[in-house]
Amino acid sequence: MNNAIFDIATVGAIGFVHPALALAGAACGAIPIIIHLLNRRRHRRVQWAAMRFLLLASRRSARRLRLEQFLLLAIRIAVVVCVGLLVARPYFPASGLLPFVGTGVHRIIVVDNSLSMSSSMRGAAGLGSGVRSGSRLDAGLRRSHELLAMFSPRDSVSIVTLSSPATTVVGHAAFDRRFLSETIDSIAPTQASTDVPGGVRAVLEIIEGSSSAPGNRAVYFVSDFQRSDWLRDSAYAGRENGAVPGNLAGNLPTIAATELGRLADVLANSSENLVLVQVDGETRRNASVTSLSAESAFVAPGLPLRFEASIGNHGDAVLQGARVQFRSGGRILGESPVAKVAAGGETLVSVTTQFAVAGTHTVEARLLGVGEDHLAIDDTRFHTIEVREKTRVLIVDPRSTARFNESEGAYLAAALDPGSVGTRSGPGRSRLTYGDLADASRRFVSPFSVELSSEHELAYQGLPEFDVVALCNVPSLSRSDWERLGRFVEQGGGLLVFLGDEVNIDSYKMSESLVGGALLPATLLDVARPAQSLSDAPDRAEVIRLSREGLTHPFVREFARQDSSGLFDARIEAYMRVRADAATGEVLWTYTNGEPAWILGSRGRGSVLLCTTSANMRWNTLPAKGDYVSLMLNAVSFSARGSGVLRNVTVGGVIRERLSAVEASLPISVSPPADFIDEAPSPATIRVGNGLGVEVGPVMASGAWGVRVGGSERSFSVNVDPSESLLEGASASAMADAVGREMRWVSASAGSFARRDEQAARSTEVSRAVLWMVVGLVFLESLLAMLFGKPLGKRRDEAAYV
Amino acid sequence: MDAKAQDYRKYLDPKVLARLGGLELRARMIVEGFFSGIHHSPHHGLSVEFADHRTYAQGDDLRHIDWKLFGKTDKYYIKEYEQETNLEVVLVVDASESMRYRSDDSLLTKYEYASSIAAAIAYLTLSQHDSVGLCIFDDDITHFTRPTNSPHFWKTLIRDLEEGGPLVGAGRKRSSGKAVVEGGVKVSRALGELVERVTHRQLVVIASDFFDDVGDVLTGLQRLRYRGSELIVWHVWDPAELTLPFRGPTSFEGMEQMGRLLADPGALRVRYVEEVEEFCHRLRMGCGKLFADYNRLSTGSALDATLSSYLATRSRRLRSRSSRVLGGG
Repeated sequence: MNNAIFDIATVGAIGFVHPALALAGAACGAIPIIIHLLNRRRHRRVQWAAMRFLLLASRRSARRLRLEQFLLLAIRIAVVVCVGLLVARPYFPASGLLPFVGTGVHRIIVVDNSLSMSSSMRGAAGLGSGVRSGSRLDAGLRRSHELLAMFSPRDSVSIVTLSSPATTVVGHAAFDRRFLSETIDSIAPTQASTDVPGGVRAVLEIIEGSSSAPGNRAVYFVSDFQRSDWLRDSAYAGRENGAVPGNLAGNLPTIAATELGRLADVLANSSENLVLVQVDGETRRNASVTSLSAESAFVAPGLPLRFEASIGNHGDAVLQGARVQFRSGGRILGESPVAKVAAGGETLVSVTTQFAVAGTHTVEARLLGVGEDHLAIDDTRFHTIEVREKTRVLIVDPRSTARFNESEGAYLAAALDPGSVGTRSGPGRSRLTYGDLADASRRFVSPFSVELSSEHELAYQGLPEFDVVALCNVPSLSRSDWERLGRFVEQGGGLLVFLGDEVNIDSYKMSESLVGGALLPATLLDVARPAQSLSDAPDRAEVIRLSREGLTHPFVREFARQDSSGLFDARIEAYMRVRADAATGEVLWTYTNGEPAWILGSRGRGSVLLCTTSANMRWNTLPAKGDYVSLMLNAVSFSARGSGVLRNVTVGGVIRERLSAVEASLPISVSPPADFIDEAPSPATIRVGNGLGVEVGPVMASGAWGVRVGGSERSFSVNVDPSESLLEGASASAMADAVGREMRWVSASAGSFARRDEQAARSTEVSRAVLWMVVGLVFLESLLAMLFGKPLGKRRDEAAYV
Repeated sequence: MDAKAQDYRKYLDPKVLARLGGLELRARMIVEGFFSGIHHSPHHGLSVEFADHRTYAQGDDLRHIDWKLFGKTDKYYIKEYEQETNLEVVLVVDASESMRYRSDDSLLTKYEYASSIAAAIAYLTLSQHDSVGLCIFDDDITHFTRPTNSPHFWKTLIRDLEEGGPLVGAGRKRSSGKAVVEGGVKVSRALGELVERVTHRQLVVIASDFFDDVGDVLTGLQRLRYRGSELIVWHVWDPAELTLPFRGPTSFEGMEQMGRLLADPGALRVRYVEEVEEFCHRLRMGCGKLFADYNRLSTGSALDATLSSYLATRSRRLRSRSSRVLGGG
């Protein structure tokens, strides 16, 4: 795509698209003079006897010769200058050459070249990936050309593209129709989503810099006006990060509609000056892989891992007979048939695999056998995971040195890495033994590397070395500790918080006023002790337990499938009553009395998981249940996934990777996907927290990308925005309702703008006029040279008469 | 024409002549070449003009008996020939600096060409027992020898021609110590001086480029004519002077201190040729009025036409004298 911003310059009444070339062309006018001067210097000397006749001839011819030679020299200079100007693409601004015809309109064409515009408009199946042939973008470019032809020659035109990030292609008020036409032709399809706010911002900037009168500005949006872009905020935003899916059925006011309304307010007469040109109003059949994720966040070598792909049917017919092929590293992991999917419906398919070695691995889900499909790019989706030999966990526990049953951290450590129980870090590191439990567990090779520490030693810990920090019944932390934990989470770390009877609520409130907002997803209120023991609650129904309802989140979803899990039978004898943050807190699990039990929050790239009860048996009997270990594994694993979020980015985003001090000095290169034909973006070294990192992007093509640091390659997945897969255009009335302003709507079925004004095509074709001028001058020069008695072939030798 | 004659004829070509070493040899070869084309032997019948018959007397050379007349009349008659010793030829050669000019395509300077043909004429004239004199001039007469029929004079003439060539550059001086006039040599002045030295009817052959005012030149010629001299005018040009064949910007350095001109020859060519032709035309017309024989010579052209012109003039002159003798007798 041509992203260049074209500068202009005007000389008097003439403007130039390439002013530097105009200057060069003017400078070229000196060439004939220089040749003349050089010839004067390079004359030959002869002794001459018949001088009197030469002097006579010279005296009698001098005036005529000077006139002839100066005429020829002037024509030659004019020819050279005209050729130079021709290359510089001159044009006449309306206010310059044609002041008598009044001021033209500044018209801004906004062309949508997002992924949905790459969809084919043909009806046949098996469309392949040839996006330019018969695509919506082709139709859009045709419409743009029609608009250009329709505009008056006095009108100036600017061009903006709408795919993310929206780009001002021609920012100045251009008059050269050929240049504008070539610019429109150069607009290429992208895999990015639509950036309506960015596009409106670009248009407003152009209008702000425009010299035309407020009433003489018009904006033309040439798009498919996808409902998902214009009438709904992204339906799939954050799905792969575990966020709640958007409302697919609703018709909520959107940012796009709001921005369009703002633009309508700026334009004097929006019913005429804000024109929406729809290139395809039909709903096109399209099936896509809308998401691909690893079911369990915890990935270790040799452990089975299930990948789940969501298949969406965006057409108006049932999708059947399709299948999904999962691949990784060039090998097929498996192929799963896709059950019948109703129009507008979704279904899940999965595959279970394992990775033998640690590192980053990219899994690809490819949708096959879908029949008629108007957009092929979204049939494939990628997901990159990081398989770690060890997940490093720092457990902060004030009783880390106490007896096993008095320490919450010890329970957690035993669940994560039985072999490390008793290992503590910091000053006075010692090894505690817990008898048979530890002995038996040493035979198990844990994927976790656990260290125990007291809250006083937290200040001495290098937090970036850990993936997860777990606070277990920590009474209080200093503000600087909370700030450090906040930065740790922002940079992708996981924070796991277990409460207990030693927690100082006031100290925890300190975490709500950190730079960048509250760290914890809930505000602690007070300790609730519904039942101290079975004897306090003779009726079992009154005993508080973990609820079986609403377990949809991946963190807890697997327990919902196991009715017999002991977790649901564990007694909750005490818990901290909390008030979940409405904006950032997501309640994953509640108690049977409806109070939150597990709350998820996020900050920067990391996540915070708050458990309102204890990790040991002081407030509950969970550790006595068999799934306690699974619960803790899930909790830590889910918290640890934050650093891997940026391995999966959307087209238009950037790839970032943290580097160690040693890695920062190694050569870094980027490996684009195999079918990527453009030049790969260069890696840039950036600062990440206190360390260094590498940034690549924005990446504009989906696929498996790689960043090679020294000898090791890190994989990344870049996927298209799934909202672009919904090939359903908005109607005029729906757009008008959403924007709430009057706009002019040109439907896809409307005929050609057609009024191809010959004068418009001609008037600013200054280049053509200059070309004819050059031809005329060359002819005139030849004619004059012949008349002046010089054979054409010898004119070069005969410089001007001296 | 036999092979030997053909071999001599080549010496009429200036390209061949230029390869010959000295002026003497060059002049001889011109004459040899010229006559080899019109006689079987260059030495038979030279300077022999038939006048009358007389009766044979004892002691007469038997070679002069007219045997045809003897066959008709059965009497011996001797052929009588006209006496030829009273023809005086003055060869006037211009040795001004402009005569030193030679273009790249030419092999002889104008002076070399003129002196070669003058030497040839002298050789021819002396062979016919006529008298020949030599005048060399630039802005003045620098050398003058009265006509003589001494065969030895030819060697002297050759030497004088070789030594009296054009001088070069500003401030140049003759052996006489007289400085050369700046701004062009006045041919007319030299002719005026020559008039004083021509004492009776003579055949004056002038070889020059006549780079002077054409009116002044004609005035000088007219004065010679009034003295009773017959005139043969050889207007000598280098081929380049007739066509101005140069291309590209050229700086013309004028000989005879005529200044300098930087010009495009292509732009001036037509006008220049017109000027040259105008000059030649006026000179030719002026010569015609004076009954002078005008010949425009190019240093690149063969010499036979020049010699033919000379001999035709000489023959006409002798014939007119003969008719005057017979009429008087």
